[in-house]
Amino acid sequence: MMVEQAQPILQTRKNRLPGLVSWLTTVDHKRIGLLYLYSAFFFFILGGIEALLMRIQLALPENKFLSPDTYNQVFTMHGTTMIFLVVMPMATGFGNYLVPLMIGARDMAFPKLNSLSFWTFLFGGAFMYSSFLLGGAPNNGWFSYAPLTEKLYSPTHGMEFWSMGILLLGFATTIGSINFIVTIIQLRAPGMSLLKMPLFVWTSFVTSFLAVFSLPSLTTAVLLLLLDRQLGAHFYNVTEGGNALLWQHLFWFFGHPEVYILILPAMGIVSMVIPTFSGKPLFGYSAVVFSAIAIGFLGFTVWAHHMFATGMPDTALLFFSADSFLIGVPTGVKIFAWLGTMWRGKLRFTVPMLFSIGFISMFLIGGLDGIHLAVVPVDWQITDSYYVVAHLHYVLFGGAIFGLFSGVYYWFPKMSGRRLSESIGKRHFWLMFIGMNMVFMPMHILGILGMPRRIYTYSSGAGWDIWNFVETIGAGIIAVSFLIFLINYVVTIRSVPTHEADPWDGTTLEWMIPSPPPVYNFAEIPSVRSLRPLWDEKHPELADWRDDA
Amino acid sequence: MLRKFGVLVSLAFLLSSCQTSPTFLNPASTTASHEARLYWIILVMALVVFVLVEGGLLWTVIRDRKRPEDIAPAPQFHGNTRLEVTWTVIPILLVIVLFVMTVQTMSAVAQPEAQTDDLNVRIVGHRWWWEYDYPDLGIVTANELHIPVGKVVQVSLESVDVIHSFWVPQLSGKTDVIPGQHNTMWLKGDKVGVYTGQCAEFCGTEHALMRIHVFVDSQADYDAWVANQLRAATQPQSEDELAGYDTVANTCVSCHSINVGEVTDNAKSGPNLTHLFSRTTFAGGTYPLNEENLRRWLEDTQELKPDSNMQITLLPEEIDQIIAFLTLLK
Amino acid sequence: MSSVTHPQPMSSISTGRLALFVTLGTESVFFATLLVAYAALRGQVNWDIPHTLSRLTIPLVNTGILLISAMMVWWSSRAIRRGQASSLRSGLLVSVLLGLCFVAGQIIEFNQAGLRIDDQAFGGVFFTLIGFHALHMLAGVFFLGLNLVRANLGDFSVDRHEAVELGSGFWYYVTAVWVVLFLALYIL
Ligand code: HEA
Ligand code: HEA
Ligand code: HEC
Ligand code: CUA
Ligand SMILES: [Cu+2]
Repeated sequence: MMVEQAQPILQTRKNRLPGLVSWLTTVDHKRIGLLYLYSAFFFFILGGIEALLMRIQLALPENKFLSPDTYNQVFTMHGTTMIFLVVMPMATGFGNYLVPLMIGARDMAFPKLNSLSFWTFLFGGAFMYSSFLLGGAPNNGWFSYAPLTEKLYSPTHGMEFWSMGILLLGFATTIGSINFIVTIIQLRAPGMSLLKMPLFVWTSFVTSFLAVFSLPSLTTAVLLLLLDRQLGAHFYNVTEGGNALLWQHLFWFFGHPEVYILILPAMGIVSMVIPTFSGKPLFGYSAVVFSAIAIGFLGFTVWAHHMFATGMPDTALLFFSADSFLIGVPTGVKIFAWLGTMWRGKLRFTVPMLFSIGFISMFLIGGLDGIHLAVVPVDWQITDSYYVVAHLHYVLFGGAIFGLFSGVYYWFPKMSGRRLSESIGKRHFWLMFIGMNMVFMPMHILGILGMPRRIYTYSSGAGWDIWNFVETIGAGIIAVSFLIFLINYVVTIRSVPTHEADPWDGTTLEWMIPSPPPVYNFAEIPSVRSLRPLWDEKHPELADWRDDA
Repeated sequence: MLRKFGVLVSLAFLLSSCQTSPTFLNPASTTASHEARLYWIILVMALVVFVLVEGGLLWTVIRDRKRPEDIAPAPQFHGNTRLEVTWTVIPILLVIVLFVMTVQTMSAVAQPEAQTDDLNVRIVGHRWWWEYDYPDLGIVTANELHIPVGKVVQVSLESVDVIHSFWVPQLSGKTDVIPGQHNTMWLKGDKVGVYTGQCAEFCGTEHALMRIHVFVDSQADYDAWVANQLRAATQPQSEDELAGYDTVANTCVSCHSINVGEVTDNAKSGPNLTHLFSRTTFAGGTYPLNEENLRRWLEDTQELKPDSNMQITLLPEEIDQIIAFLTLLK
Repeated sequence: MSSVTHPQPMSSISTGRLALFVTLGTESVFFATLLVAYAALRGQVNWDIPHTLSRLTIPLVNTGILLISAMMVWWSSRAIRRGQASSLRSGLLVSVLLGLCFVAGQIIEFNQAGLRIDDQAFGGVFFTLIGFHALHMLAGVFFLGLNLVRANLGDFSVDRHEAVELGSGFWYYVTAVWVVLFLALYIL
């Protein structure tokens, strides 16, 4: 069920290969983008099913639905999947499809490298999942703290699958990011100076740098773990001069930049969608760009806020705490800029717009939770409790996933030549919105009521039962909303394409070319005079370049 | 959505106040109450920010909806420097406030200098149970910690295997229990009572069944408890008890110590059983301790606690005898 | 990796170089984190760094070898910039051989150091740092070797030799990394 590609007249030799083969061998950035998106959605279903299994187990106290070890495998794979196999590849998919279109290029700088990174990613994901069949999945959580991961405590091969999977995914992301950086620096259309790039391009740019400079730390951590497990080294083995916290520092030095790798692309999408449906330019464009850069830099200096309870000296605690607060400032700039963009606009509440507005309000909650967690004495109470789980889902589900769905609805017409049904889409949005608040809002309460995360069971009488039950129902609602989305997809993809080039009255380059775009994207490379070339064309009298000049 | 948030939050705290939840918002120590106070403040701050931002959002959503009739493009303003400065500066001020409050609370809950009359306790994390040593008193027990009300307890935390985290919300926040690293924390119960918590760092299969009960006793109760712990184990008398004692002495002591007077040996891999029945729960504080549960435990440990490091198989009659003996260990 | 033809690249720097720089950037973080691990673990065990000259011979010789090879690489790429294909070939050949000598030296050195990866945490770090650097050396040798072959096939000319430049760039990098490792492991 692949989205049909370019219109016949525009087809080139490459596309005349028989369908499947042409997809397997493609180096076209658009097809690779779609491959990323489809795979990510597939993994989303897996990760979601794992989530539903966890929710069923936790719905009632002392439930026996999953065995302890199965539960641990499931939450580990859930977290790992959602982060490495869903949000990251989805963002990469959009990046692959859209960045060349938005900068007026014919493809990425290194098309072959591009397909290599996709297939490596897919293999890495499949490899990790094969562990379920081959003697047990990893079961130490998505950040797999040593020394629990040492062979002595984790004898199954789960950790090998996890480690090698992570290495593969890390490699895929690294070469992908190098490709993005080079593409964005080299292949912009004439006239598109850095500060005339669409915001999604900017966030992909920053994200790529974050990946390139943070992933090696994870690679190191994982390599050392493999050496411990396979060759009997002792990096994390304290009895032989190893260090138990080394892993945490190496992991979180990657782990915190990672969370901005997960959110920035979604923020980029929102920064494209809101202006379009407000009929206005992005408010304070350069402020938004520089806040993204600031978030990128600060993101490298806060990692130990995941380690407040490990007995660090007070000075360190305060430094990492203060730094974490500071990240709130540039993030606030973004949120206010989106409000400023909608202010006095002519708002059209299409489904993409709804998801973007949902993003703002849900991410806001998650962000404020983040500030709570950064307050050291409070974190001592709520760290490793469901409060953290609430935070991470408000930013990752309410944030990243909402933003990405906004992108799906927004660019689907460009990718397939068809609009997803608005009426079904609105149902999808509202159910998902209600469902997610039912699942994740009570998690704050559970955290406050003393429920730790990663427990496969709990006894009643602590006041946890009712909230867990509510959450499970909420998860069901999210699942239904997702099924509705799948229905919407099937219905739409079966319909006759309308091939609207510019269905939303957009303002950026991708809306100037046919839907779906021809293999070579632009018959002739456009030249750009402002942030909104298409707007300038539509409204010469109000053109942006006039007030730039 | 805004209302939903408000309602749920207030509900939660209604609940936490009346319920017997282990929540730091119902503190039993100065530490926890400082942390609770700070939490309330930052929660209110967050709610204010939330209401303002969300309010502004709803406001535009309602006011600036595109009317079908008007087709004129919206006013094309690209930014407003004064506004942008304002909403950068205000958060910075908030950050400063947050930082100051963090510093204050941290110093308020900081561990006090060790005094001679402090109680010293050594807490050792095992997968998946807690060992509590009173080095000055020569007491070694498991899963249930007894401390006298109003007295400062200097705690040193050690792990024999992986990272655990000691958390009793109503008494104090978490401190990780890390192999090869000597962490410390302090406790001071202000109200007599039993406070529950559990291991808060994922430590393997039974992380969920590594629970904590802290008994903050009146001085009298505490002294009585100490006196009892210092007794040697009760000697077996009857046929069964003696038989039970033999099996225990043969099979169990490889992992459990039962002190018949001589020095305590806490190096063993299982909880000290000398005064087993002075405890109310067992197996990581999971099950109420009574003959029936104990029988289930001995019949099939892995059924009650899969993967538990206690692996033995016993004959039914052995079990009866063992129980006859263990129930003596008051 | 053929770069897509495009009217005019936006920046003056060549696409290949740009890619190389970013790649070396991520490599640097990798080695930096390994060095951090080294620093963290070194504090925890008492392992006296062999300062004695006798122990330092091989590392010193190796360092020399590597620096010379780097110079050869520089000389060869300058040659092709001047269109002297023959000096390019000889330069590359020598560098490749020197590179192999270095790796061989490292293997000997490692056996002499009397450390095994499972000795103690420290042995592991030593092994890992030298090991991963050696792997990079082999990659570099491969890279230069490839260029050598292409040079013999006459692939390069005054105005067509980006691969040579990239190969040299990578070689300078691994040399620099070695100097850092040498200081960290043997001197500091
Ligand atoms: C999309 C991913 C994402 C994002 C964007 C964030 C954003 C933030 N996170 Fe979060 N975080 C995670 C994903 C993310 N996080 C995950 C997955 C974990 C759990 C890992 C694990 O243990 O499994 C985690 C855990 C985590 C912890 C550790 C908790 C613990 O284990 O004890 C902390 C602690 O400081 C933290 C802080 C923050 C902060 C300060 C932000 C800030 O960036 C938030 C900034 C946003 C705002 C503040 C709101 C908007 C701002 C305004 C309206 C301006 C005015 C407000 C102020 C200035 C206060 N996060
Ligand atoms: C993007 C990231 C992301 C997303 C989207 C989600 C989505 C969800 N998460 Fe998850 N979660 C994490 C990231 C994420 N999570 C992370 C990082 C952790 C920490 C892991 C760790 O501790 O190591 C975590 C942990 C975590 C926990 C805590 C586990 C524990 O600590 O014990 C829970 C508990 O309820 C949970 C629940 C859910 C639920 C109910 C959803 C729901 O949104 C899921 C929605 C459901 C679906 C999307 C189902 C779709 C499928 C169908 C409808 C079936 C269709 C079938 C066919 C087509 C065949 N998550
Ligand atoms: C292989 C080691 C081992 C042997 C042999 C062993 N135990 Fe245990 N035992 C343990 C461990 C470990 C625990 C803690 C289990 C947990 O809570 O996860 C334990 C817990 C217990 C407990 C609960 C104590 C508490 O307070 O939680 C009792 C009672 C007990 N064992 C009795 C026995 C008896 C009786 C025997 C002999 C017939 C025995 N054990 C043999 C290792 C052992
Ligand atoms: Cu011990 Cu979790
Ligand atoms: Cu973080």
